[in-house]
Amino acid sequence: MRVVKISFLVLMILVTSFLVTGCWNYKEIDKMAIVSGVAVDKGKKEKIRLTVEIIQVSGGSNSVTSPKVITTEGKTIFDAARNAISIVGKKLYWSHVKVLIISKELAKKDVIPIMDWYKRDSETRFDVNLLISKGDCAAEILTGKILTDQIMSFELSNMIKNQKNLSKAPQSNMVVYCNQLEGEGIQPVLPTIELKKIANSKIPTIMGTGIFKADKVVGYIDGDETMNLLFVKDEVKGGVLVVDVKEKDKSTSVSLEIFKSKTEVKPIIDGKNIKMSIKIETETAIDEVTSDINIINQKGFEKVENLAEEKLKKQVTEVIKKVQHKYKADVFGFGSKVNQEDPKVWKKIEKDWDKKFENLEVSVDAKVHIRNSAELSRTLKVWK
Amino acid sequence: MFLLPILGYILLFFIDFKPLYKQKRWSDFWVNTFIGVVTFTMAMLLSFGVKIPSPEKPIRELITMLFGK
Amino acid sequence: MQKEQISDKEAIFLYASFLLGSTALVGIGGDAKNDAWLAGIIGVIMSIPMLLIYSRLSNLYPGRDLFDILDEILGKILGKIVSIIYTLFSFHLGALVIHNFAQFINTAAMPETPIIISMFFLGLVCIYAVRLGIESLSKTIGLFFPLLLIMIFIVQLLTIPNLHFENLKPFLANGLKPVFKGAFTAFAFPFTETVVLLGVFSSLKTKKSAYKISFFGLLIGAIVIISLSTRNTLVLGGLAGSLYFPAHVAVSMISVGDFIQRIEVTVAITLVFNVFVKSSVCLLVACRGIKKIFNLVEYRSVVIQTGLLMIFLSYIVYDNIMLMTYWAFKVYPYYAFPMEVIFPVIVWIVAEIKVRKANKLKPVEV
Repeated sequence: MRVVKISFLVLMILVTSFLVTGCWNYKEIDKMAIVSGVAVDKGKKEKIRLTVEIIQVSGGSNSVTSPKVITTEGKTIFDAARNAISIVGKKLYWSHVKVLIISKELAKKDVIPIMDWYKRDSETRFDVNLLISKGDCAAEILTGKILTDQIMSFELSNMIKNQKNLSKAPQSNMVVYCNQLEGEGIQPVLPTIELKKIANSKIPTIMGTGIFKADKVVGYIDGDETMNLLFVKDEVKGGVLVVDVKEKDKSTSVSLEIFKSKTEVKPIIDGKNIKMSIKIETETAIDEVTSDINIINQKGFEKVENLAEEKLKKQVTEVIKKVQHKYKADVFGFGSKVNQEDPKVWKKIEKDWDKKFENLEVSVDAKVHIRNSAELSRTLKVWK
Repeated sequence: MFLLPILGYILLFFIDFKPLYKQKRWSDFWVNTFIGVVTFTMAMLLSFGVKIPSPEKPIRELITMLFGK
Repeated sequence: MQKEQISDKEAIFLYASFLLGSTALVGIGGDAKNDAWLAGIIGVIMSIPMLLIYSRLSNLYPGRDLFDILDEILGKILGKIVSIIYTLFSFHLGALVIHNFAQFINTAAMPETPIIISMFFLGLVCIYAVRLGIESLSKTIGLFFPLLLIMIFIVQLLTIPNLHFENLKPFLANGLKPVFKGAFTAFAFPFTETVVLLGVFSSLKTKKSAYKISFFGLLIGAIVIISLSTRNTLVLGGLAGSLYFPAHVAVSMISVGDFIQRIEVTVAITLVFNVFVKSSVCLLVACRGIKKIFNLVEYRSVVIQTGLLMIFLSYIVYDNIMLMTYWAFKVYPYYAFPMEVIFPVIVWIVAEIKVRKANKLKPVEV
């Protein structure tokens, strides 16, 4: 019995020391090809051309990360992703992808073949930033010039994150996009990216919005229009409002920094008639005055506030009109607001919402409040 | 692959069946042996890659028949 | 052999942990979509009468487990038949829970590891725990469960920036029918699965505590389950319905200041512990059932083999993951209904009549 017990103990120790030490299919970090950014284009031979930026980590005391960009083709995304093995020699690791760039051409057809695998696979994550490339080739962006970071995808991801101080491109990730795609009465939007030529080098810039109808892009709006779109969608977190003030045949531009903004979109349902009422409330501060007109007083504040309100109202109305008549896609989610307010009415009008949206009456009301004038209590005075 | 369950069951014989036999708990021993034979057969079948039919199917079909959908 | 005892606090945690089981992962109220929270609350309210009946049963026969009670009330032969049914139910439930767990590990964390490995190792731990007995199991729970609660709470706090309250609207878009369907699912899985716990409540310290334990256990379990599944809806919106494991993705969206992120592993930790508790309890009750049916000396004699059988059953029970969720939401509520509602009600009525009769014969002693 003793022998059995001891031999059993030894066996247990051996078994545990082999089994519990770690995962049997572990991978060292320098043996992995970590993907940081993906760009999807239409392929030349096959259906899809996948370009990935991979980070190579070389170990040691001063570890170096160096990005490399490689391109593969395949029938589907997954096919192309696995085909990369024959180029890199390693299986790509997808959990650290920061950006997914979709080319204009593919976005025009449909994006589901791209999204599905990304949503489904267990290695990929939902918090990836989605972008549409406005240029011809999405892959070019990954090889563009990097200014501040070592790795392009990280720089792009920072750009998107800091858009909250600019509000000229919408924020989107897999969850947001899929909910917009599947949601009733709302159409998706994605931020756009393009390469701008600045001093002989091509630098990627994120600005503007791609407007979807179902799973196809139907048009683009620029950065300023995007800001107004974001006002309606209540996604403005910061940014600059520029107001032109005229006084005594002198004109000046006043820049207002947005600190807080809140938009209330309310459908007014009256039998079969539906109107949307939009109320924007923005808190700002004067951060720049470009002439010596003194507006830093109660009266001046009120004047600037009124002008800013007028301007905001006009701009927002213009963007809504443009989207309504040119793109005919309910990116503002007016339909979903109706659904949230009154699901029964929505059930009735759901089918011909597209037509209803085109002729929807929208009233915009804006309220701009100026909190302070930053650190200066007056404008610069010029001595004559 | 089929060696693994055999090894495991030889081990089990010492830690599970033998004490019962020694303590002369006959009903315990026989019930345990019966279940043991069943699990051993299952283990062997699994190690040979035989597909054992799942008991969920008849239950599922019965319930779908009774309650629909 | 001395009698094993559980303190009230440990029993409450055992109860809550059992409720959380695999539900915290799969979520509740499948059909109800964004009204899942309402379905959850209705499910809790629906299950309260049943829990009162279970507590009353354990109260009438203190120190006896489910199978003793069945034997006492339904007589030798009928009692044995119902005992067999409960043994199989508990056994099957344990296998389903193990399968749930392994499927999660296989889908989310280790797709290349054979699924039997994760089942086998969880099963081994359960066998070990059950052989040690209910007392050690509940002591473990008493130690770990509060930590888990704190962890769940912290993770809930961290998700606050990701909550989108408009996801709760439209309220009752498809009427009350899907909500009640969802509530019924929640009623059967997990709230009235606690009938299995009658099998271990024989070890309670005091006579009165069954009510208290059911109440507080249900309170903790229900609050956690409902808040988790509401969080899933709030974070993921419509997507929550199309994911097998919404909790995992909802937590993966957390990113606080760029350094608290990728904490999905907390979901896995919670899951592993609760699943361990649930399948251990199921295994324990199944073994006690076998002991009662065959009049064995001790339930420990059959633990290893029953546990192995449970592991193999969990391996063969579903072909794929679609079947698993289909079962959890569509088949299971009907399958479990007799065990969770019909038998307990009958047993309870008979028990009340018997007690009244006994009281009439004997003068009441207080």
